[in-house]
Amino acid sequence: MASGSAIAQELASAPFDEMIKNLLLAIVAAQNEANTAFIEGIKELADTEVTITYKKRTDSSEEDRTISGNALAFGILPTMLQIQQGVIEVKMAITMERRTEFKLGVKAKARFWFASVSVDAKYSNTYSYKAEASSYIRIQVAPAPPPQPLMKAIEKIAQDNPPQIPA
Amino acid sequence: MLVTSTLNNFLSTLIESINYGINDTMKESIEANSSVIFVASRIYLNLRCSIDYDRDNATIMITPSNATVSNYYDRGNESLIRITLTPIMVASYGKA
Repeated sequence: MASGSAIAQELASAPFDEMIKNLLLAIVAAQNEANTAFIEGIKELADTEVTITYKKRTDSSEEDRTISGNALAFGILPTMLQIQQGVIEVKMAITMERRTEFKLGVKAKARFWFASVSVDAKYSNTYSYKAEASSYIRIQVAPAPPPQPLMKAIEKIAQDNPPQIPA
Repeated sequence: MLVTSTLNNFLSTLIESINYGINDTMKESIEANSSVIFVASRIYLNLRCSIDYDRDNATIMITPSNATVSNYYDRGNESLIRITLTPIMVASYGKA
């Protein structure tokens, strides 16, 4: 049987801000993975040789002809996928704690601290907690370009390292 | 664990937590040189809770719904607070 402290640990499983951050970062990570897969797709297609053999018939003869080339040269391109919009909805229960921060020479300051736990089958069954009684958070996510200074830095890196295209 | 808080404290801490979460995401995305940053364009919150009036302190108290509140106090499911948050980007974000 779970001890009292174990239950408390389970109830207050994640700080609320961490939960929001991790949900958003999961989308960033997914998009970065999609970008990496796109680059890998180009590399893979660049290594793929396509050979098409056909017969050219004339009135008197028939000869084998071959068209060969890189898959990219045939116009086979990987698809760049970008998450246009995402909606994350989580059923959760909020718990509160009061934490006192001590700093040298500064008066002790009491702060509230939120923890959230997603209401899933385990939580619901363990604590006999109805999912209908839970709160929920729905985060609508949209992509945005990086801030201007970072965008300039990215452009500078691209300018200094142009792709080497043979003549 | 704190069961009840003033509504004022609850909401201000909630918004502060969301701000921290969004700012940390932005910082980590920038540090990772991510080509695209995802921003929470809108956050909807449906908070199941109990709301009471504390006569002694003349303030509104909130008890958010969770397993402890539900099982030990049989509360937390009477009221619903709906919040829609739209983050506003500071125009000078990223400038020194």
